[in-house]
Parts: sequence; structure tokens; C-alpha cells
Amino acid sequence: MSDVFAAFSRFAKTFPKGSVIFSEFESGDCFYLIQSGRVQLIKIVNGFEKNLDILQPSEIFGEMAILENSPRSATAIAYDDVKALEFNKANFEVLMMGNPAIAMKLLKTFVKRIYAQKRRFMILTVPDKMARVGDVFLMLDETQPNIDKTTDMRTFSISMEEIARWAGLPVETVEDEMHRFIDQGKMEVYDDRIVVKNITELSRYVGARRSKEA
Amino acid sequence: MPKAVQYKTNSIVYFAGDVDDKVFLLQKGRMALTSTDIETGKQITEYIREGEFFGVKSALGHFPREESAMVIADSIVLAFSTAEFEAFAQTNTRIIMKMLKVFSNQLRHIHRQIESRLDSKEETNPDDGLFSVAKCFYNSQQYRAAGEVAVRYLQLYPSGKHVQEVKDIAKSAQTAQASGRSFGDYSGGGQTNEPRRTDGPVGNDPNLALTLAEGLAGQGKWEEAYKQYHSVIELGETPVVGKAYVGAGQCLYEQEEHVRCVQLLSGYISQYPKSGQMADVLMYMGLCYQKMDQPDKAKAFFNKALTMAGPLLAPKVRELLESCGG
Repeated sequence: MSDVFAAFSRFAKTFPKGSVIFSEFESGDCFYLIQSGRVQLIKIVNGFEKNLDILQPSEIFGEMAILENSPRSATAIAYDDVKALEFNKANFEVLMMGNPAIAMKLLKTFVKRIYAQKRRFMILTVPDKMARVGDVFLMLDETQPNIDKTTDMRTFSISMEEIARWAGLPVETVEDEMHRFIDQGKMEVYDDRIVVKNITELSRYVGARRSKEA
Repeated sequence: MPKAVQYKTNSIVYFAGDVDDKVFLLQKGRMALTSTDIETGKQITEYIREGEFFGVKSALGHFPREESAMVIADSIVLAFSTAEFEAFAQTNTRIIMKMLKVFSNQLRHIHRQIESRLDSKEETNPDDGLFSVAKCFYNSQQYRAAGEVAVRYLQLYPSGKHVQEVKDIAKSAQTAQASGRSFGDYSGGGQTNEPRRTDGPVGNDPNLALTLAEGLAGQGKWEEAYKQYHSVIELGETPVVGKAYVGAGQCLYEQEEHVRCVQLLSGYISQYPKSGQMADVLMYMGLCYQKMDQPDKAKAFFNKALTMAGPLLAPKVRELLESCGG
């Protein structure tokens, strides 16, 4: 990758630590390939910042800008002093054709995004609200690293507002469904975490209620 | 090296749910990929033709297969490991380009499906959204981020409904940063990243006013833009005073206040004779004299501007000179 950065140094941009690369809700037509430093992706959920990810050198971000004319879906902030290559729709094809390494990287980024979005969509298609809320936890479990698989108990640091966002339901509805889980002894809710007592049982519950009809 | 495997009709190359890292190329024969639509639960069948790859997404992403691959007619399939596929594709970039197009369409499609499912209340107007981002960062004492987002808001929405609040956020954020009060950047530190300039009164930031002015000028709101440019000029010698004079001059020119424009810019020329903005200033002087029916003076200023103009401005000045008969 180092030869790519050298070849495209004219597209290099530096972002001091803490600076905003782009903001959520801004329009944008550039995507970035991180050369050095880390980038934090943040989303505002109900007036609070939610950390989505911290990206490492050689990762790509902002790529949705070249696919559609939508506002940015998150804020990207330089977590360290960041050096990144900035590309746009106009130079995208030339860049890809001349740089198979970057093209392959972008391909893998698209693959990750497709799977994440499809998984998110799967949650939204669950008609039963309680099962839909349960599916949010299953999705989070699938993406959590370093799970202790010797136990079926799982702990999640997530708020009701975030669950509501994933489930596409009002917060009040999510709270009602969570109370049902608590009443049934399936979950415990604390100030800073939610505990799912048995993830395998939850998976069976959600699977049984996932209808094929919209 | 990829391995060539023969499959008889009705055999299965892989089932949905299988986990493996193989990417396949149908060399000869015919294949069908069957999967279940997430939304409708109906079966979807896609046919693979000779020369086409399949199984790419799940192999590259290390996910379970989303579809089953069934052989419709006796086939020969090349099986690549992920590493072999990547090496092969990188020597045939058009393969990657074609896949990028296919995947980007899939990504757009799934985005639209998600948007159609979500409550429309979730959609936030970008004006409101950008304001909420600035406000949120400010409330959590992320002053640098708050200030930068606030400036972007002012550039994009100089007449937006949250302008006054955003200006307040921008000023307060800059004051907080200048005094070293920052909850930090995302590394959790409690210090600012770079020393703040201290020219000009703290809280009366020329960059902010200039940004506002440029936004207003971009919208053709010359009177309001002029006020902002003038506020920068009144701050005295700052790094942006040249731009402010040029902007103010443009505003006066656009409002057909030619005499005032000439007076303003003459004052600038005598005060900052070595300014980097001189070419623009001289050009506006020339434009004013042209409007005042003094073509000889206009030509003189255009000629002078041309000697200093950079590659972007020079063609414009040449055109103006020609319009004067120069």
C-alpha cells in the first residue's frame, strides 16, 4: 500500500487531531483512504454522540458519497493526526483502474457494508415487535469481538435509544418490549448495560417469530 | 493455483449457511444460485453464465453463504482461495470494476429498502441536523469539533434558521479553546491541539465573520455580506483582511456603489501595497472605473492587475481588458 500513497501523494490531506473531516448531515462527494492515524466515526443519537467505529490506517471511509447524493450519515473526526488520500466521483474510476490494491480494498469495504445493511434490514422485517427488539441483540452479538462462548449469557452496553434506532421503533415501544423480556426473566437492564441471560434461547425465540411475510 | 472441479447436473457446489473461503468461476456449464428474499420470504433464483464469478461476497467478507449454488448442466468450475482470487483480480482490474458496480448497486438497493422501512420521522432536515451536531459537540465540551461544525453550518446555511445560535456556539467554542478549556479531542485529552492565534479580540473572530460574509455573498446578499466584510476590516491587520477588502469591494461594486468602492480599495492599496490580494483589488478598481465611463483609467488598472494576476484570475482580467478595447 505504501507505493499507492506515494503515487497519489497529490491527493493527500492532513487533519490535525480532533479536527472534523466531515460532519453528519453535510453533503459530500469525497471518500478517503487513511494513510496514517486513526479516524473516529460518530453519530448523534438523541442529542448524544455515539461512537460507531475507530478506523485504522489503510481503511476506507466516506465511500457512500460516491454512490448516492445523500448527506453524510456520520461525523468523521481525526482521532490522531491523520493523513488520508481524498478521492471523489470524478477521479474514482481512474483511481480504481490504475490501483487494483485500492479497488480490492473498496470491494471488501462494500462487502462489509452490504452484509451490515442486510443484517440491519433483517431486523426491520421482523413483524413481531418483541422479537424485533430481540433481533437487535442477536445482531449486536454477531458483531461483538472476543465473545466468551463458554456461556450463553451476553452483556451489551447499549441504550434504549440505540435499540430503538436499530429496531426502527419508538423508544416507548422498545421500553415496553424490554419490560416484557425482563418480566419473563430473559433480560436484565442496568444503568450502564443490558444482560441477555441466554442468547441461544433468544435466537430460537426470534427465529420462530421471524415471518416470511412483510 | 485455482483448482478445476467437475460437477454433474443437480449437484450442489455449496449450501446457504456454509462457511468457506472459496471464490468460484464457472468455466463451462450452467449454475443457479437460489436464496430467500429477506423481505418477502420468496425464493430468488439467479443464473450464472460461463465466465462469471460467484461466491465472491461471502468469501471476501468471511460470512456464511447467503445462497445455495446448484449445477443445472454438467459444469466445470474453477475454485480459487481468497488469496488466489485477490491476486488474479488485481491483474485484471476490469473484473474488480465490474464487481464494484454490481456491489454498489446492491448497496444502494439495500439502503433504499431500509429507508422505506424506517419511520419517516427519523429523517432530519440537514439544516437542523448539522445544528444538532454542533450543539451536541458543544454540550459535551468537544469545543474544537463544535467550532468546526459550526463554521461549516455557517458556510452552508448563512441564512439558516439556527444561524444566531450557531454563531454563538462558534464564538463560545473558540473562546473555550483559546482559554485551554476543552474536554478534549477524542483521545480523551484535556488540552487543545494547537496554539490559538491571539490577534484580534477573543470572541470576535475574523475567520468566522469572513466565512459568514462569503456565504452571504455567494447568495448574492451583497448588503449583508458587506457588513460582515466590514466587520473584519474594522478588526485591523489580521491574516484575512485582504480577502475582506476584496469581498467588501465586490459587494460595493455589485450594489453599484462605484465611488465608495474606489475609495475603499484606494485606502487598501495605500495601506497594504504589497498585499497578495492586489490583483483582485486592482481588477475591481478597473471595473468601477469602467462603470463610471472612464475607460482609460479602467484599462490602466486592468493592465496593472494582469501583471500580478495568478493563472485563475488572469484570463478574466484579459477579457475585461479586451472589453475596454485594450
